[in-house]
Amino acid sequence: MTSSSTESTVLAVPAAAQILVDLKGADPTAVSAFDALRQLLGFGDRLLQLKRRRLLELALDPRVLPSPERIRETIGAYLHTTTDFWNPNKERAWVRCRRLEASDAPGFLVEKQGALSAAPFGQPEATSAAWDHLLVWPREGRSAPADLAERMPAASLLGAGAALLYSVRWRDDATAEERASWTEAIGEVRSRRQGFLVQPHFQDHRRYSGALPIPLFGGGGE
Amino acid sequence: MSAKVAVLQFPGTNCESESLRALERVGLTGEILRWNEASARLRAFDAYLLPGGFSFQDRVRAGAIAARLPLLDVVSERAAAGAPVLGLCNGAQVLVEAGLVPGNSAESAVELGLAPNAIRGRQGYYTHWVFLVPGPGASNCLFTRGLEEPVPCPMAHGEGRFVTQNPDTARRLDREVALQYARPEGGATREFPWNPNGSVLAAAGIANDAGNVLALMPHPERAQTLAQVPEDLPGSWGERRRAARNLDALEGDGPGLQLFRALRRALA
Repeated sequence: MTSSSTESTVLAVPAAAQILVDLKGADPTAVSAFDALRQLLGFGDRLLQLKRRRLLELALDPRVLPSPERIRETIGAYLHTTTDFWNPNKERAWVRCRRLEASDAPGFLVEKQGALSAAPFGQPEATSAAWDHLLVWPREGRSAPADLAERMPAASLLGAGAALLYSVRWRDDATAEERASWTEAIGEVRSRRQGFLVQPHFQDHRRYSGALPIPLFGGGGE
Repeated sequence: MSAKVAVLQFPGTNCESESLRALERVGLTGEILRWNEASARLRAFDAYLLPGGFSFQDRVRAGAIAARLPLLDVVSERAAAGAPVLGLCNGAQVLVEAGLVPGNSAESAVELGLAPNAIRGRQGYYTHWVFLVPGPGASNCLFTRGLEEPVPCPMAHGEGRFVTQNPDTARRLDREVALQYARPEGGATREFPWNPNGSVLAAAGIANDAGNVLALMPHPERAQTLAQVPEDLPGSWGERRRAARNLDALEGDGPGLQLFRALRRALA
């Protein structure tokens, strides 16, 4: 490996953080999408649950944010001061973070409820193995909130991207193949009877099965 | 007896009354029907108008849920049989999501999308008076055939940029764009603010192959009288508006009525 490729590998995603935002109350869009899929597109009682969240994924430089505490403080401070990304009066933000070691060992750096009440840290709903996911983003870019770069410590942010995350739970006796096939089928629109959540003329998507990985953008979907 | 036009109202539609008024001004009979109307009753109409608004609150995407309703089976079936179908703003979004433009039936592939506006320096909803000129497909579309002068009318949307990823569709659009955004003096343009969303081929309205279905993002029904035309609008319609000095003159035909008159001619 050359030194430049080593550097690029190290700087690509040394630590990845995800902020998942959902509504504190019922999500009308998720309710309507759920009903449309069950009643209008024929998925019926195969589909048990559907959740919709906004995702902001950050790639962070551990030289600037060397500890889990610093990452937690920094993201918490961002969530408390941003006026672009979320509305704490009606939304919840979940933060997940993982440092990508050479061994790429899994493990959340930030798992506990944080001191900052508006920014709960911990395991959000619908990230367990029982769920499947569609990550959807505009083809023209996963643009991050406008105030992100100016509100993060200088040089801490290596990259960021925003997307919409739909998480679905299929009936419990579905096989892995059925789950994958059905999740794909509710995604990209082909006709008014096929596909729903992804408009392929201006959106891209990636499908994930089971536990939600960190990172999503850099990780391998299916 | 005049032809009957069904004005289809979804939950969240908010332009049904002025759309109905525009139909009546040109001598057509219209009726507002809800999305859950019985299919047999819907089939009895000669033409269909899908008005603007925010069907299902634009949840998931503008028009996405309404396009999957059984009602669209009837609209699709009647469109395939040649019945005129006009979708305005959110109605256009429904037609595009349903694959009726530029396709022809409920089984058609969805070949287009109406993406968020692409305006430098701002995002989301935008409203403005725009000028529409006949596009390369105007003569094939019953709503725009014979249109000679620019049609100024308001646009008001956040997701109105026609896009396609399908190269075959992109080639076909050359002959299916019925109305284009233009400068006040004429000449199609992709320049803001005359093209308010960055639409491909400056497309404001796209018809189907047969020319009886038109998905149009601006609002001609909001330009049905001269009183609705802004006094400072450039061009001949602005001059007519400035010359209108009394209530009778202000109640005269506005530029948007031309599309509704074309519908009446087609139904004669």
